[in-house]
Amino acid sequence: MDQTLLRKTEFVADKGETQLEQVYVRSLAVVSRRVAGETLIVPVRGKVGDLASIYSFNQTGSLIWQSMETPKTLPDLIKAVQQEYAVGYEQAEQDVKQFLQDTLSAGLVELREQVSMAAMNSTGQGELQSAGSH
Amino acid sequence: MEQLSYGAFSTDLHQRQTGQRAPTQVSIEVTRRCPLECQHCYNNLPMGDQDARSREMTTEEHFKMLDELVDMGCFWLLYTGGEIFARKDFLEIYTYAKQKGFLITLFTNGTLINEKIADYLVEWPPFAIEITLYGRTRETYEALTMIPGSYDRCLRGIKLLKERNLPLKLKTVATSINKHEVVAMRQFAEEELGVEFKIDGQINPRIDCSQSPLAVRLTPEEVVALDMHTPKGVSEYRRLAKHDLERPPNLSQVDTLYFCGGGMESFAINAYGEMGICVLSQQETFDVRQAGLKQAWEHSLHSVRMRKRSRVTKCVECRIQSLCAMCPANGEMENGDRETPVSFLCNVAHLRAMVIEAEVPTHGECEFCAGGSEHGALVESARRITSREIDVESWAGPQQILPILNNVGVAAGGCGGCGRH
Repeated sequence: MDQTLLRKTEFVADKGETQLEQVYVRSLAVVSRRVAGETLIVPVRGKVGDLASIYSFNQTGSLIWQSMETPKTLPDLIKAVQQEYAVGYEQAEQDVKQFLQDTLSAGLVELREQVSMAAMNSTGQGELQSAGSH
Repeated sequence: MEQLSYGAFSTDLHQRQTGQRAPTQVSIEVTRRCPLECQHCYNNLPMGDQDARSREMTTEEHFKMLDELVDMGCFWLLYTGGEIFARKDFLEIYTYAKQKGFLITLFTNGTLINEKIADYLVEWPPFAIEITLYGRTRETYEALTMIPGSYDRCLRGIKLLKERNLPLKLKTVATSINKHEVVAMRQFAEEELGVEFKIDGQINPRIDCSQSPLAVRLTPEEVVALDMHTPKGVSEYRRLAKHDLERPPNLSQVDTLYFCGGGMESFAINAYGEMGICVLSQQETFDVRQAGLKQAWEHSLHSVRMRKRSRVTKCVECRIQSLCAMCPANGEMENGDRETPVSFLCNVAHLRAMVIEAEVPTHGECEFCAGGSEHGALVESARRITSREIDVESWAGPQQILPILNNVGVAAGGCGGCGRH
């Protein structure tokens, strides 16, 4: 019989091989809704954003938000904007950075670190390890 | 990124959607069961009503409905009862709705709110939570709710929410039982607690057709005296009357039976999974458990909302419609017919107009207009109000707590006219 009460699953890599990258993720304390053709961001949990307000994005903002359905790095987001709109790297970078600055300060987006997927894919070193406590 | 206040967003959205039929607001009645037995209530049932309980939508049915509401673009959600916290799974349903991004308002009597619920609401805050206060003393409150201990439990609920800075608002329903404490309730809310307070003088018969709530309804004179008790009330009615009198009658611009936002931008779901125009209009509802919400909204409710009125009543040409609460739901509840004018409401509207000295143009055979059978009594009522012979402040004296059952035509029991009871 499995006596495990708490199972913690984490990524590990061989010593010296770990490569962390910064990714942007949507806060779990907000929900996006599509109302009357507009993307709205609604804070749903306490202490997040201004609960007396809702947030809306322009077209570029909506695209960046859509892209963050899964965690994304800054280059990922810049690339997404460049692919959608015919803009140069610098303009796309400026738009994305402005968006991230606004949303991070409002608590709509969070910055996390995760093991670099690129590194894992290239080295094959990453593996899943489960640790149980009893 | 643009940050919008709810008010600005709401105004903008409504302006953009004017004339369009899009369901942005929904009222969901989670149960009709309630731990209180308020004499004026239009739909309360005992907590132990097993039949009512067995017919209520399940937790899973609520979840499914919320998914559908998201797909339909619904954004504002009101949870009402009965008493919402009478359902043990209410917070589960509420949390699911929060996770879907609705702006949620909660209507509650506050008596079942404990620390655990209050803490939970801090974690998952509603857009607004409105508690109805039925009196400022234990005696009065419990004379209306009929439940000993309910006053203290209500105050505890208010305290718990206020301590946590939740978006609390208070309101009351003015009745013959608690009218003498309305001023004290307002002071308690606005001055002691610093929260918004509003008074609702509207009391309807029950949706099971019983007329029993009318036994505690204020007289038209009392309703209007209360309306005009504050300078704000007087100026607001003056503004509304001026607006109405400068324009052609609202109802003459449309030929549909319903003229409100019900069925256009809003609708209601009752505790048993039936869609209707609003929580009051229950003669014609549609089961959404099988057909689904979208189908009911697009077909069944659409046909109700677009139905033409069958006759021209005195309401159609009336120029003080903004002073009047008459609507098909009120006609349905009071007369068993959506189009027959409710005499009580007509009386109140004409009295409001007379007190603020707004002249009402003739609009068909109206007993309250000049030459009508009730006009003389209306003039006398207006005199009593403006001369302060009838005065809200004086109500605060010693009161008879028990309701005085002297309203003509008031009786419990079904109307027999709506075909449902």
